[in-house]
Amino acid sequence: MLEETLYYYKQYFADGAETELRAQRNEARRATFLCGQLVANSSSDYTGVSARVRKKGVSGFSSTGEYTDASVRRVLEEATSNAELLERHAKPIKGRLSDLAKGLRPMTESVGSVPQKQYLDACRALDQYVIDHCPGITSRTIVATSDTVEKVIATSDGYDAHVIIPRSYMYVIMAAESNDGVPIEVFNVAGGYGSFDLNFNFLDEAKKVADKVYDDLMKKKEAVYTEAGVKTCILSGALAGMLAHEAVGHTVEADLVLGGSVAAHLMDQQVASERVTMVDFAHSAFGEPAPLPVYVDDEGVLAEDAILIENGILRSYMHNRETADHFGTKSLGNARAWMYSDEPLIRMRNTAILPGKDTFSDMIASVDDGYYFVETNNGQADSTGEFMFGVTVGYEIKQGKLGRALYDTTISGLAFEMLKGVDMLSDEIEWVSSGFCGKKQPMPVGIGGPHVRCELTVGGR
Amino acid sequence: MREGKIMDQLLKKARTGLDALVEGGAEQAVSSVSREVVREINAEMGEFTLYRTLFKDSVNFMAIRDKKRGLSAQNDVTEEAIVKGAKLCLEAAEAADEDEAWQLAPKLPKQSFTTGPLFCDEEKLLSRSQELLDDIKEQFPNIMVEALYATHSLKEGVALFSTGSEFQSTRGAYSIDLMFNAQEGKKTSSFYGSYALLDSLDEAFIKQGSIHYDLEFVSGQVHTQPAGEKYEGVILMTPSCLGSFLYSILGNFVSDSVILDGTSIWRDKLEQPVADPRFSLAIAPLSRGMVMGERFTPEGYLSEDYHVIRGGVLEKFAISDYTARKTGRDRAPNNAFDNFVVEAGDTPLDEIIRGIDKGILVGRFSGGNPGTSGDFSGVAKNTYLIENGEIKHALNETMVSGNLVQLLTNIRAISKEVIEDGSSVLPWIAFNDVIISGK
Repeated sequence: MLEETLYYYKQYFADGAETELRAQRNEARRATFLCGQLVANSSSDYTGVSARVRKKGVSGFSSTGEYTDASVRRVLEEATSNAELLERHAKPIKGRLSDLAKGLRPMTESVGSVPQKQYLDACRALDQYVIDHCPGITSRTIVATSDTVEKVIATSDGYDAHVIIPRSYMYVIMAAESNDGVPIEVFNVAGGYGSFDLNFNFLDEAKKVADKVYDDLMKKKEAVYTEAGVKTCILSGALAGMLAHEAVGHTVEADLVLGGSVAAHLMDQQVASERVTMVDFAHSAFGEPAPLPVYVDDEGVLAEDAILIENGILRSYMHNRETADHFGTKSLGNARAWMYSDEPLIRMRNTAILPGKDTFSDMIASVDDGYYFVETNNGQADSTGEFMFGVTVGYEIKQGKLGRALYDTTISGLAFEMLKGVDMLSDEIEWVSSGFCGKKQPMPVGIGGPHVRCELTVGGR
Repeated sequence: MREGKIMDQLLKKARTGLDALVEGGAEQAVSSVSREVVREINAEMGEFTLYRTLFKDSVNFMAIRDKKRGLSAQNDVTEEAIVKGAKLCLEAAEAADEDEAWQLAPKLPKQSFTTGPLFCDEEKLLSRSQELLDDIKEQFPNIMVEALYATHSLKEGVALFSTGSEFQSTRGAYSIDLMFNAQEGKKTSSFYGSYALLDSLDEAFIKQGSIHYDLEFVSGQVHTQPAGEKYEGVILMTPSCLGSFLYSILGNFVSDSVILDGTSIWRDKLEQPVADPRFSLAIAPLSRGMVMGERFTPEGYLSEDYHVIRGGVLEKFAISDYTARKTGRDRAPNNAFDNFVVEAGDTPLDEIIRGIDKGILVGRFSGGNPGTSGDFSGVAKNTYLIENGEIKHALNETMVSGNLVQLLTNIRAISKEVIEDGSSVLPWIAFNDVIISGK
């Protein structure tokens, strides 16, 4: 665990500057078995310290991969010097940022390192399970992985904090050939918040995931291609979460709003059906811990939920301190950095569409001719709100019943148009937390949602 | 003197790591230690916002003990941490399975590589960045620069192999990375990115790579129209778009994982035609214009340029030494998996466009990850309609679909012009028979 000596160096913060000092440790483990052969067996540990100093509206940043007395002093000096260099070239000059609540959020969690052998043994056991229970496949891949991010944050203006987010997962990927001779593949993931030893002490959940992957793959052997065009679709919670994150979430990050995202002109306007409420949860949701809880962000802001869309009306953007001041509001703790050497950027935390009142079975029964899209391997969106998701598991819906499986396809649409057409939301929520969001730096995020009924453009032959 | 001193320190640390691995029982081992200093200027919305200097240390270990292999990486370069990291690597190896295919390259004479600008001219980097922001304002007034990152990196490193091979490298580079869109009133184009890796600051950033072309390309995309009914037409890809398709093609048909598990459609196609005879694709980290190309592989072979496809014929798989041993094939002569060079054609870009009755010019493709079947479908972003030999207007919500295998055999034309951006050399390519549809 990181030592909390960082707080001592606040006495060296430059007068009149806004300063954040952060010590950070990123630990990652990974093991991959491809058809029973160990093809990846790696660990990484990165620790370091960084400082960001803001003066007259511009900032200097410096980091180094040491956490010592000399290195802390060095990054503070270097960051100050960088801010001063940029200050000479910057225009316009800006003032100080708004005041923040001050305090200390002490460490409440404890996470130990797990031996590499435990990852490999878990992979071997799950691989054997797949061999024993999944005949007729052409390829299998088992991945065990974890990443833990620990930070000690000392700020001139806001909260000091010692926080840690551990997460661990096992991926199961299986391939086969369809009855038409087309290579097909399905994957899924088990795990979530917590260290590998706690999440995979028993492999029950991972085996259930393997069973589901196999079931989906066998159904996909009889897959048909989707028909291209606009279709009535039911999205799973995983896809609804992807929609919330990619297609809506990014467009309401205030830095992208300033860059001209479609949401720039939509504040307090109807952007979705009144059934739709969307929240970026900080650390708790529905009375439970959120998938990847954030208590204090890397600017020292005490994290709170951001209600982005309320009953279909766009209510807020996500901010760092700078953009919050620009828009005359307060930051709710979205400024986060991935590594010690990264500066905080506006990032989502646990972004979800809230559940409705419909049952999943009623939703399927309501569709005469459409699709049920279940799993995705990829999602991208534009500042215009135009989005595209790759779908790896999906099914036809014919006359209110699930039909044949689908080959891989893509779905697309314009987020704020598509959301206006949402007319059913199921009464449960599915969370996914295994992915990374990409925006200059990677960032672990939680995404979630209920089943959603909507109209989408479907790719196809 | 300074560089020499740092290299001596790196060498000492790498030696400590290698000794710890070998003394711990490794029959084969690699110990790599590097130090990188990165200086990065950030601008947002056309104004400077942040200047970063990063001091990054890195230690990477590989150990093979009893034919079992482990890897570890860390950034703590103290002697105590290096010994501890080596132990972690050996523990990972001990937990692994025996596999005789993990092997290092035979011993080579000591190698030293020095490339690129080793000194960062901070003031010039700032003035070139400001010049780019000013050039954009003047030449493309409707372009909003969401983010600009101008960077200099100096990386010094040592890799010691238990075979006795020793590689030292000192490599510097500048880069310019832009994210932008075009805006008029409340209307905004799709965002776009442009990047170039540079070995000097001698020329204005706007002249580097495809930056000027990209700015002009996007500045005309504020007002879009639907693509209309589904049709089979021509898709003309910009070099940047082509690059993303090449990653998918190589990943699905010639890379380690698909050759190792046998799911590649091209697994039996070596020395057979897989593309139009005019198409040649090399992975060429040593070729002229590649700024930070790989110099040696993780196993300790010196990197060489090679063709994956030459004259339409599949010449080599892009596989590691390990996959080569496992499958009884030849390893790729480098481990780069970028630095693509596609041979230019003989048709000027204007002439290619004039010859297209109906199709699209695509700057960016937002698709899922195409699978090993090669089927792809997705949204063509930053796209123009081409009709009767002319670029008409920008399009929105345009879906395209096809198959990567068929795409390479359906090449209509390859442009005479290429874009060199320091990490690839790519032309524009027009492909026939792609399905294009609007909403």
